[in-house]
Amino acid sequence: MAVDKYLLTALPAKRETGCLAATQWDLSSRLIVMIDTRIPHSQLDLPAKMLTVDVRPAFERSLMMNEFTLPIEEVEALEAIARRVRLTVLQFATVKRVHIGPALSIIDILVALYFKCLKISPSNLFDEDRDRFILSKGHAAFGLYAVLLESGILDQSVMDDFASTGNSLPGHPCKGMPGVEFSTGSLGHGLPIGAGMSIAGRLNSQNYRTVVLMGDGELNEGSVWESAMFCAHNNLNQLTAIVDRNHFQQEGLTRRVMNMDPLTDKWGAFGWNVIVVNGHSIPDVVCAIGKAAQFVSGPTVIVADTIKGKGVTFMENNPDWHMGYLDSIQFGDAVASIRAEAP
Amino acid sequence: MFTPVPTRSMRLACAEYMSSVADTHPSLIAMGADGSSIFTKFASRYPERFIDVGIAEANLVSVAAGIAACNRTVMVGAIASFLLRRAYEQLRVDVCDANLPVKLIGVGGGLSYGALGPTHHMCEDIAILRAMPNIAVFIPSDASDAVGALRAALEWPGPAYIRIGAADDPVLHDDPHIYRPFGLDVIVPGRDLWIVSTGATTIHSVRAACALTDQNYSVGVINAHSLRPFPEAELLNVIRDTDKLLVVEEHVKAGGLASIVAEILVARREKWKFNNIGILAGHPPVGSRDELLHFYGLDAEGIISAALTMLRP
Repeated sequence: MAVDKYLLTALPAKRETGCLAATQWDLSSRLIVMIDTRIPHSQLDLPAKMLTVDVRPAFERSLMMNEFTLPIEEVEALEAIARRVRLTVLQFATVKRVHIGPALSIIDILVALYFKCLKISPSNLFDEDRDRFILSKGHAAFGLYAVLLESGILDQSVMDDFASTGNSLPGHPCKGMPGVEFSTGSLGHGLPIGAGMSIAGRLNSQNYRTVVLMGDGELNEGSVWESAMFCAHNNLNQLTAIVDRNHFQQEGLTRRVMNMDPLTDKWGAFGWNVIVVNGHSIPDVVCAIGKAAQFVSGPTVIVADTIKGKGVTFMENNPDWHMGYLDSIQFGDAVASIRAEAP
Repeated sequence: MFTPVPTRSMRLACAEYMSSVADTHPSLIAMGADGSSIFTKFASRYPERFIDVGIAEANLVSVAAGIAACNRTVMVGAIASFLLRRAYEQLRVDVCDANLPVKLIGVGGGLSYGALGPTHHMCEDIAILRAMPNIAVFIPSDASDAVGALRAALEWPGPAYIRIGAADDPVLHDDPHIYRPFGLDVIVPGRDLWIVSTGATTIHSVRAACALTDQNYSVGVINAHSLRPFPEAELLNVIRDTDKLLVVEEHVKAGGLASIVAEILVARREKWKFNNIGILAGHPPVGSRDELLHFYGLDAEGIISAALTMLRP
């Protein structure tokens, strides 16, 4: 399936200039929305007062060209990486039950982070000025492991002994593993930890970035909002939170279990800059992460609209695949589903 | 009879010490939850090195962990009951499992907040922290001990916890005294029975021992200020000539100093006359700290009574 790329920003302040203003990012604003035209607006949980403007594909490139715009070849290369990473996640699930749905929804975000946006590589894991990434939704561990394998941070040998007792890949990331800054798995810890790392960077006169990836179900945890207040109060503009807005938590739709709408309003009210983006469009995510770093005032949250189980047709939006094991037939179907997305 | 008159605030002593090490420990960051008098002086000199998170202890501990992971030592000062109970998981997962240099000062530990009621009491800190990896635990008996504990906590490579009082506490030691971190402080020597105490009950234990001397009993008092790691070999050496041991603590009877000592004794398979006085989990009456200590038999009167039960044939 071809990925529709783009869209646009629309800012209330720019209304009079119309959609052509979309190339001008107003960094003094608190809210930027990038609309993917595939997503019905009713699903996007946009604040009522937000002006959104669709820009049709014909205008896409001219409107979206900015310093973060990727050449099409690079986009395709990153998308190929994402497909490989998803296949690795499937392989994990043939060995034991893993949190597969929540892992598949974050792959495109992780690929944008690890292969384009963040200064994290096998050679700088212990450098003090490396960028910091915290997978706060630790249950998506196998998505992270697959990306760490792809980037060479984790050695391929961990794959070989994954089935053995005492293997080195726990169900949730543990501090001490290559590329894992903190143990996560208990939800609601990542944002305050990231806040601490970000404020330490300021104290230590280092200008690394800290990115924390949370699930939307995770936002039920009160500690997230304690921390959200803290980050805004301390103007942690080098901190970026990303919400994997896949609309599901373990028990079912977030809207049914614990409604967090209007989500962007909540973050805005807590003093954050908010960017809404299609979390499966790698160039959009790259652009959003790049823009987030340019805000001089306030921390920024990227609400990434995603699909739980993304890439495997029978898992998409199916909470039964929150955690799962793949038999050989299912594995074959899943692989075929992901390969079908290749151009 | 031993009658210590002067009192001194552990908080103020800690505040002085924090201010004095601000220059020599440039990596130190101090954090509080809606203010912390321990860091007032420190913060006035280095405002950029003091971070107040507001009334949000869970956030406090995780942020401290994040900072400590970036080559900083973080001192956290907050009301002990809220710090340990509210942020239990953050402390366990983010600080202790990760073995990070976050040093917690639990203000108003034990029954120190007295009549403010049980929400403000923290009588299970030893039990909570013994179950966590890597963290050193100190319960000083007076302001001088508190400064010693603070120094030891800073030298300890990983996380640490110090329980201090909320108000002025009686002075037990001449200041300065020699504080031996992870050692025992034998205050009164004895032959017939040893009292092992920690924190605020130590002064009452000393009073009890002095009173028992008048009845011709030789009762020793050990101030166990370092709970973890615990000086096991030293304890066995000090008490080697007696078979009677009474543990006194401003802590629930389960999981605290008495449990530590009992585990040591049981492992030695020796015969001991052992008893312990502590707090019973449940709803205490309304009262000041001294009144509550009396209620639980943790003042000199209660300790004398418990000791005589063991001493009389």
